[in-house]
Amino acid sequence: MRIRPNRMRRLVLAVTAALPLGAAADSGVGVDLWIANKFDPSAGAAADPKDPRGTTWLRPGEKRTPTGTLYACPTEPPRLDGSGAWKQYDASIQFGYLAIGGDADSALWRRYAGWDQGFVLGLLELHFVRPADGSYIDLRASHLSEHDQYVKGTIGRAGHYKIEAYARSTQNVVSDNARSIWNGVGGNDLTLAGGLTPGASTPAEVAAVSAAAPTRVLQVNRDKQGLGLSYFFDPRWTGYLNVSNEQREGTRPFGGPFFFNFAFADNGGIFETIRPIDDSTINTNAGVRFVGNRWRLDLGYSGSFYRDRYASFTYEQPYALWNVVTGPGVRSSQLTQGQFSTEPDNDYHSLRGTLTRSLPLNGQFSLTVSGASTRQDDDLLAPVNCNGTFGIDLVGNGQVGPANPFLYACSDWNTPASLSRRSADMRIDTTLVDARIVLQPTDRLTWRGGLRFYREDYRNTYLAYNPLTGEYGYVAENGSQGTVVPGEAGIWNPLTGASILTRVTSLPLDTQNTEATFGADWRPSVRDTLGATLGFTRNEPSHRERSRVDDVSIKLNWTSRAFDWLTLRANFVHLRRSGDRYDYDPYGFTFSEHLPGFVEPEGGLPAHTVEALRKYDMASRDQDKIDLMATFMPRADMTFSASLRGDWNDYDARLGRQRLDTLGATLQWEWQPSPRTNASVYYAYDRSKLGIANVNEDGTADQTDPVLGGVTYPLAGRWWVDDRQRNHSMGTVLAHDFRRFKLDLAWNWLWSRGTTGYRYASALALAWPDVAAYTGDAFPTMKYKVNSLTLGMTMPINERMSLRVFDYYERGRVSDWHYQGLDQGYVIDHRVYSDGGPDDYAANLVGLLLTVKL
Amino acid sequence: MKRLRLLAVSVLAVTALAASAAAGDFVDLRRIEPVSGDAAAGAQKAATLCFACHGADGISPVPMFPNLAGQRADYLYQELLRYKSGSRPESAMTALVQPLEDADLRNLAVHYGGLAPDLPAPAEAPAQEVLARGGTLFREGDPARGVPPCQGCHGADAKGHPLADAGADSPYRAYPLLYGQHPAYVATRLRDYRSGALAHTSNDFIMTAVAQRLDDASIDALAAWLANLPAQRQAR
Repeated sequence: MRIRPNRMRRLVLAVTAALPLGAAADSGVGVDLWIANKFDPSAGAAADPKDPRGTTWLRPGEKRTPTGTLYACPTEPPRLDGSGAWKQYDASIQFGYLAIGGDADSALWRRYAGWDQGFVLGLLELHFVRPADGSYIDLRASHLSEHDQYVKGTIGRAGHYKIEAYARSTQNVVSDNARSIWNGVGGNDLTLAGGLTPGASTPAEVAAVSAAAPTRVLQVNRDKQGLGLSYFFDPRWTGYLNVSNEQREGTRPFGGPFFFNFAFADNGGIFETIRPIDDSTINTNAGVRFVGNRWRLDLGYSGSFYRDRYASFTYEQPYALWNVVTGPGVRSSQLTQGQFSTEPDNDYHSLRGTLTRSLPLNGQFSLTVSGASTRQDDDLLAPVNCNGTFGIDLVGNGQVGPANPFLYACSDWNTPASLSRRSADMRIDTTLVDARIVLQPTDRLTWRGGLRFYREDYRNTYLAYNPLTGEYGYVAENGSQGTVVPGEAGIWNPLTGASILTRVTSLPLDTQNTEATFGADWRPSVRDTLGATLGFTRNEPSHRERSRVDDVSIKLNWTSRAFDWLTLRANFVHLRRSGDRYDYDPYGFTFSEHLPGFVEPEGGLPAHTVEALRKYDMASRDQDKIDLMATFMPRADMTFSASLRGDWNDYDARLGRQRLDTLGATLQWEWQPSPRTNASVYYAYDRSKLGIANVNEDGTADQTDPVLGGVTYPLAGRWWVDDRQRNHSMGTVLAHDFRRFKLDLAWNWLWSRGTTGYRYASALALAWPDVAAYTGDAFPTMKYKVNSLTLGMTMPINERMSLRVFDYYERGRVSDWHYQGLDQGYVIDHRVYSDGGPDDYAANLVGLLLTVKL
Repeated sequence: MKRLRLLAVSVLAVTALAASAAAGDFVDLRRIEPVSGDAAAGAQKAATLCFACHGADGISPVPMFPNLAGQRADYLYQELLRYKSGSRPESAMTALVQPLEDADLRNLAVHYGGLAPDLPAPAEAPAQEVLARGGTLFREGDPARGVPPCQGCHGADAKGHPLADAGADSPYRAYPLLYGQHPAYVATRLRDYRSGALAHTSNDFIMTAVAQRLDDASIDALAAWLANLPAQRQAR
């Protein structure tokens, strides 16, 4: 059954309305625990008055985490009159005006912040408490613009129940300079604009329409609502239910293939269409928990329901198609439109139970059992949406039949009757059993052990069979590929194309994981802990290059608090992955070669791929990871922390991923000398290196040899990519309350640089050898630099009012070679782009906000 | 559920009390200087002023008055300051300490802190189940009701926090010794905490939150178990 979003929304409302008032979002499983915006990420918390008495009566000053990091200074508790009656506290409203200058429309500036110039409701806060029975009511709301706003309410009674409800709107701007050659942007039917003729326009005409099109913003708006309930039946039993619904609506750039324009210069086109976004997801979870002295229990259900308004979207394409066959009477079909399916509706159900029992020797045993099912059953789309014919008319009479083997009637393929099944009928079931045991026979020794079993079962496969024609296969590129190159329509015909190798079935990826871990922690002194963990994981996938992949790992860790002012943590992991024989071509069964009636081509089957290729998730490899963390506490009000982490992966692959190394370091300094002052500085650096090797086939040679160095994949066709990413980020925060006014300053800087270098054995490695003279050894460097500075001052006017003046400046510098040349126009021959890409920007926001205590 | 409500109300009440103390009139015992004084001078003053109620050797003959022998000097000094400032509820002590100088208070505290808590075993032992209940509360607390184990702050031997003298900045200096204290005094003091009558120091806020989770039977059991600690020692 396909449940429409509106129906689901009504269902959610009905369910939530029927629930008793006596529960609330559980902090462990809830979503959207903190709702705020870029304008004030703390949602008012940063401005709340701090409590100089600290966090606990047990010791002065601020508390630290177990690893030594300072907690933030707590805010003052409500001041009550002792009557036990309802009392309002910390209620306020903040409103004012935002003025924005500079590149205010920049997509990067507005990416996740819907700030518009004008009047705004910065924050409305209402808090009520009734000490007599521990009841409370909280409300927070903010409205910056239609797509940047929230409201959240909480009502509850301490130790009894809690109800949370919220609604929020956020935006994701993906382009501010899009131009469309289509009408109907935002819907699921794009028709050519400006008088362009489908299948019969010239690049100049298309370029003119694109240039004349107004620039538009592409963005996705997210509106989310949620309700959370939790109820304490007694001190041991808790029940919870959370439901959320998110709608996404808008547009974003997408693809639109009509076959290679590069290889066949006057053919088809490559389009960047603009797809509609109009979908929703309902997430829910519910369960009960029991916490006893010996037993603990957690039984729960999770569900997720994705619905898309559109099953597909279609687009007209402006260019003609010409086939590569020459001969008397040979004619091309003309295809004028294509289609894409959108993401399928999806239902997910999961039941899980966890039982934990304390054991002798200060131990604990825990068992988790879970079963889940993911289901999709959308009506399937017809393979094409064309009219007339597609493919190549070799005879020249326009008649489809055995005598014209590469010409296909659209009417045989543009109807659901051409499918072997009308709906997806897809299901993936998962099973999880996880057992853990911990024993602490002495104060100095802890034993740990675990067994885990996880399995994914694909319950169905799809065979692409057309009962109208008796043919098999998935039609390639809306029919355009077979319209340009004979035999490449993606269709296998037992009579006229019995040797065509093409994909005919879906690929089920069942898998099973079995994992065992065993470890111990030893404390040679009260301030030092040494640990070691051995792990073994066996992955047994179906229909992959290996049927067995084994990971053996050892993890060593050391934690030291030998000095009161220092915490040291060090972790080291070595992992070795191996497995059974690597079958470089396990997917043959999904191709037409396994259909009855398939005739092996003269000279043998083409090689699906090269035998030396190792896919990175199946390849044998050695991995070493280190993680060093030090936290210094030179004073009670100061923390300095440093970390270094590295991850080195060496893959046993002549082709494929050969290495992936990452290295990162952080430095941070925090200072909280008093509740009126806090300061921090941070710096982070990380880099990664990814090495890939591969080989291009010799298209002029025999295609049946899978061996690297053979005729199909000669060593001269080898190429290598060396991808390097480096990121630096730095920032500082300083806030001080001078009593007559508060000053806050924040600066953040991000510097990101990515280079993709390459080399190749010879021009044979290139898809287009004739460009070898221009290739160099790297793509242009990708750069992304952002500087942002906030300077704010808050001045009390009187006991009830204060004024905040702040300035937020942000500057971005972007260099992305993917968009090079688009400043000259979005249409390059038969390649049509809709998004002009990110631009440099600098924008400034000045805010004047008045806060009134209610 | 009533227990939970009681807990919630207690927490909020403590919060309210803490908020009222935010005005700045509360005493932060987490940051006190170690007390020092002249024990001999303190002994002289005690012999004339304190002995009638608290005994010549610091062992009170009156069950409602606390034993002072071996009590932590920092605790005693802070208590005397509270009586002198009037922030403790009005009692006989209020008038008695008014004429004393700060040096007298320090000397008295050091004097009593230096005496050995050589306590006699109680004449009558309470019922075993009462002792068992008190011992469990002291050692393990009552997690279901949110009662922490007393030994966490008062030490496994009930003679004060084990880190009370770990350094000059120890925040535990003013956690009192409970070992062998008169049960009537302990029970009265806990009930005062429970009622909110004592809400002036950071330690008061700790104990108010704890005591509001104790019922009468638990308070009496704790008091009885503490009073019988000397008996258990002598029985070994």
